Amino acid sequence: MSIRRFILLAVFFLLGFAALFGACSVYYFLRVRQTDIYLEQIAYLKDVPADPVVVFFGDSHPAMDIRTSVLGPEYLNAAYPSDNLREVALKAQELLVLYPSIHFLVVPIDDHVFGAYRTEDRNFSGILHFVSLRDALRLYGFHPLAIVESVATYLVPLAHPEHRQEFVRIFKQDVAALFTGEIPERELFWDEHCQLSLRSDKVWTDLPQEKRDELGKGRAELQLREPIINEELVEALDALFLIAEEHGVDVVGVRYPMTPAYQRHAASHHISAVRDLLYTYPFIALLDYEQLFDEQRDLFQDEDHLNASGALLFSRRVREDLQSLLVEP
Amino acid sequence: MFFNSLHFLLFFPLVSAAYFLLPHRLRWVFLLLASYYFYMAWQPAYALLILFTTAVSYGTALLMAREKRQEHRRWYLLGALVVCLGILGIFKYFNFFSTSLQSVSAFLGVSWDSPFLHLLLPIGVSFYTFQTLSYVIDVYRGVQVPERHFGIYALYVSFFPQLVAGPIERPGNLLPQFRERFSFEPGRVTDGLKLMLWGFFKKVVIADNLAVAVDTVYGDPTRFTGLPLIVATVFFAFQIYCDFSGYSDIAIGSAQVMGFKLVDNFNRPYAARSIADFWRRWHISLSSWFRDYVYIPLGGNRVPPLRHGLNVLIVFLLSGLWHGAAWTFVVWGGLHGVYLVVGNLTHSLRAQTASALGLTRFPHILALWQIACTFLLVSVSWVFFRAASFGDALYILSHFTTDLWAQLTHFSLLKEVLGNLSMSKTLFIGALLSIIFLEEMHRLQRHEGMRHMFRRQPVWLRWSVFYFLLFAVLFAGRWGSQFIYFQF
Repeated sequence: MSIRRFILLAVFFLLGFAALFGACSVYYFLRVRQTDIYLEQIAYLKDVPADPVVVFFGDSHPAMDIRTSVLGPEYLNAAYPSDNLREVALKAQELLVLYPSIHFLVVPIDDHVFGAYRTEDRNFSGILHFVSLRDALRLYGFHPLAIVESVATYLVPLAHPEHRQEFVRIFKQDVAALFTGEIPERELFWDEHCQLSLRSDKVWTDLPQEKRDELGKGRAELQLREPIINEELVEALDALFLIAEEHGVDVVGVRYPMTPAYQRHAASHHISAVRDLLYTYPFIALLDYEQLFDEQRDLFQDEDHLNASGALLFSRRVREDLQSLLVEP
Repeated sequence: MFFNSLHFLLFFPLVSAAYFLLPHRLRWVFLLLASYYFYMAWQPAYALLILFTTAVSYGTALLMAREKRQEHRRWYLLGALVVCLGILGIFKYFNFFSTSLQSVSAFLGVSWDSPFLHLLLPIGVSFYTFQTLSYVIDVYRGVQVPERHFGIYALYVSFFPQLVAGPIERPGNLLPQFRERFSFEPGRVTDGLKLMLWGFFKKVVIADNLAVAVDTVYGDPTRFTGLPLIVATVFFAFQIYCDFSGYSDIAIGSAQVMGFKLVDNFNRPYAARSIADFWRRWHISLSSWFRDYVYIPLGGNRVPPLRHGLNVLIVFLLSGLWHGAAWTFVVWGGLHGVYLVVGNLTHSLRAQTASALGLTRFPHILALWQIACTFLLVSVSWVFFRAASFGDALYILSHFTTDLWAQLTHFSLLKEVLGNLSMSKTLFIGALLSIIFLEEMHRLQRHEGMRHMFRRQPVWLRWSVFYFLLFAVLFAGRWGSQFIYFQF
């Protein structure tokens, strides 16, 4: 085969690939993206109907444990599962510009906030829907591969395996719906109170003790593996305090409830170093709820998340504690 | 850097494009730098280990070539073996032997705290060590001229396509290729890319999807009895084949794009009609390494039958140990050794039985029977390979038939059992279809290579298959998991 013919065939082959991939991308944008709860939350954050005063940030702990339906319209939950401190700082920066009514930023002070588990997640394609590339780079730093991956995913979502998996899931669902006429409901969804909710309500104590211990251990090992303190996320928290200072708002730290099974295994990791470091920051208040439900384990759905009943109780407790701060900061 | 990562998908086109654009005299430098970058993307410090192994084997080979006295040459060889195998021993086997010794001491009533090294196992250490040893031993034997160019030799040890999981190359095949002037040949490049695509398909589509059920069952086997244990074991047989042969295909294909011809590592192993046949088809580069550097020096089959059996057992016990520092791997290797010894002893008896039953008149049926028996034996051995502990392996083997009849005859039970494999219905059916597709591809290419077979097909059919594979890799594949053989 001559090089000329090779180039010609390669161009035709790639054009065919581009056409097929383009068709998939069209389906993705028109159908799959409409079901994306992350983008649904971002759209809501850009246009919150009331003027928020207190905003919760963080990962699945605040996202699932804080129920805005209990808290009232002056509270906003901007947390999303797997959000790390870089995303917290970026979201805070953008929200403070959008809503000058904000007075308190509530950030998680769980033991894994500076962990490798969160640091290594450098794909910032999601947050690019909310902040500029320049702002994202300022906090994510210069990691060429992560930048290529994030920007490519932002521009061509199907370039990322997670989006392709979602594509396949929705596609299979749509094909099945052609025959059955039924579209199954998602387990995790954006409810009528504009908060993330789980459709099923699990109870942690339904699991045997041995299994709970194993899950607690596995979770602690995943979240608290070394290095437990990573400079990149420490810098992100520094940036958050700087942003708070610029806007004259206060930062509250919250340690979320954990099951005793998790706490027991977490204790064997270097969590004291994380806590010592967190205590050096000028939080206006540190609310430690880690052991709040040690005697009510049935309020958890898994090793480190509350179930619906637990989240309602917890949110009421948080509201009481925060309201005293609102009255007398 | 893993083949199934974004890093490699950016690295490989850039490296191969730059390779062809560079003048020939600079290519080895470029490939050497690229290979070290490839390795250092994982753990930079461990590149020093490769460099050290390279320097020792390079120097030893030159000293042996200069030395006329055989005894001195032998000492040089011994020195190189001690250093290279010493590195392998410290990083891979120290903790294994140390904890094993502690267990034995405890059994004998002696209390002793065994030392434990907190070292990360260097990826591919078993592969590049064996490749280095084959060079040193070949120079010692006088069948290989020592390489005087340190850079070229360093490239032989670290050549990125096969650095971390083989195929284990021989100096006679690979070293001369680094001096050859490869031009951009479209036919060879497309053949290499097609092989890479097939490798990716086997790895991310077949192996990694089968892994879902395998990991569930083998992660906690005592939760299961009967059918799930059988399904997971059969799935593992195909998972490990697709994982490792997928890696080999990507390695061979990526080398081929740049012009290099690496040795074949697999040849439809599950079509083997005996265990001996299986080892001629499975991980060929390792089997032939053990044959040439261990089995034949031990006397091979030119010794009394008892000694021959012992030789076979030694080779397979070592092969098991090569795979992993755990007793389960040793048992896996030993089991294959026993299969071979028993196979040799019963060869004529089996032939007579087949003839007496009239099976020789139906060669296809006989072949199918032999293939099924071989697959069964190999699958049983995989239980030890995959199980986390010896206890798990024994549990699995002893519970294969527990509740099996009830599971097979009650549809609701069967559904529940398969539901417990953590696979959706679609994924389970997809996994079965992918195995059928794989075996059909193997059947089609039994007389000629897949690449030759494809060349005869019309363009529309070829391209449809390529698009299918490409989109299956993208949309049905699971990305991000490691290759199983990286841990060896």
